[in-house]
Amino acid sequence: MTFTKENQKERYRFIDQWAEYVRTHDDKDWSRQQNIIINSCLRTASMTKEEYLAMKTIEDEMKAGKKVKKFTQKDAVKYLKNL
Amino acid sequence: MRTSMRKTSIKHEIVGGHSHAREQMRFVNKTTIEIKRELSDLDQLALDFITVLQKYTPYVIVSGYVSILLGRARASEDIDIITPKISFPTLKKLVHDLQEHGFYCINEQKDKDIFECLTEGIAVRFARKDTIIPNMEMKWARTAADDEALQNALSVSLPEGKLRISPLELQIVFKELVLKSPKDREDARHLRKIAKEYLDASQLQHYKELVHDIH
Repeated sequence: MTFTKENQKERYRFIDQWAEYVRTHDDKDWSRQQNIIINSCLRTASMTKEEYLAMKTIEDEMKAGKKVKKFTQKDAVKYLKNL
Repeated sequence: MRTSMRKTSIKHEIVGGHSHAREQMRFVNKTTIEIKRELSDLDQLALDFITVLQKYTPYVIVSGYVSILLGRARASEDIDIITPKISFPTLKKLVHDLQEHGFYCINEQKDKDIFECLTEGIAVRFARKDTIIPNMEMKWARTAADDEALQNALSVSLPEGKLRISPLELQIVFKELVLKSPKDREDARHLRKIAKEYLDASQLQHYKELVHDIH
């Protein structure tokens, strides 16, 4: 099994385990833990408006299957610097 | 008809001689889910924005936040919202009311430009003043799937208010068959697990045919 497939399998295993935890524990219990992820991600994010909108444009183009499919991290940095 | 439904998930335990109510997510009926969760920053943003939005138009929340609201262990920087098309005067009132409640539009400043974006099918984003993340991504319904989500929205009852979300069966099908990214497949898997006693197989099939016809 490739690393990617093994990794995905492990991710699915955790998703199933967590969903079962949510189903069987108090809402306050699981949500308190979930909020640590959500709130810390949001509070540490730092981007300018222009950077954020550029990132969303790239994401939208990728979703639409346009030519940016091979867009690398290096390309993204270059793209943002040229704004 | 839903094939089966969890009747109740409020359990009582005797802790130290006292009855202690365990409050778990509850699928109350075909259209209502009750969650007694602690609110995240994302939930608070959704509730504050919806308090204003619902004065002017029906709405439905779709995509990643639906899974997150129901417990998926991940964050998102935006919440996707679909509304029916609204007139320019109504949009203008909505935008001004949002401003009075501390929101601003990230993409455009002028009301007519916001309206133009929406008319062209471009989503507009609203965030709290002086912030970019998190934000509400709003667009008008354009497809049969969007209309379906609006017409058959579920109500999620939180301790501090209510939110309207897309039917779970539609979200699952859309994420598995249309969006298909690893993140979307994982969101769908979470929804399947969390609502396994509630999901309607015939609705899943109906939505599969619907998205097949659209995409």
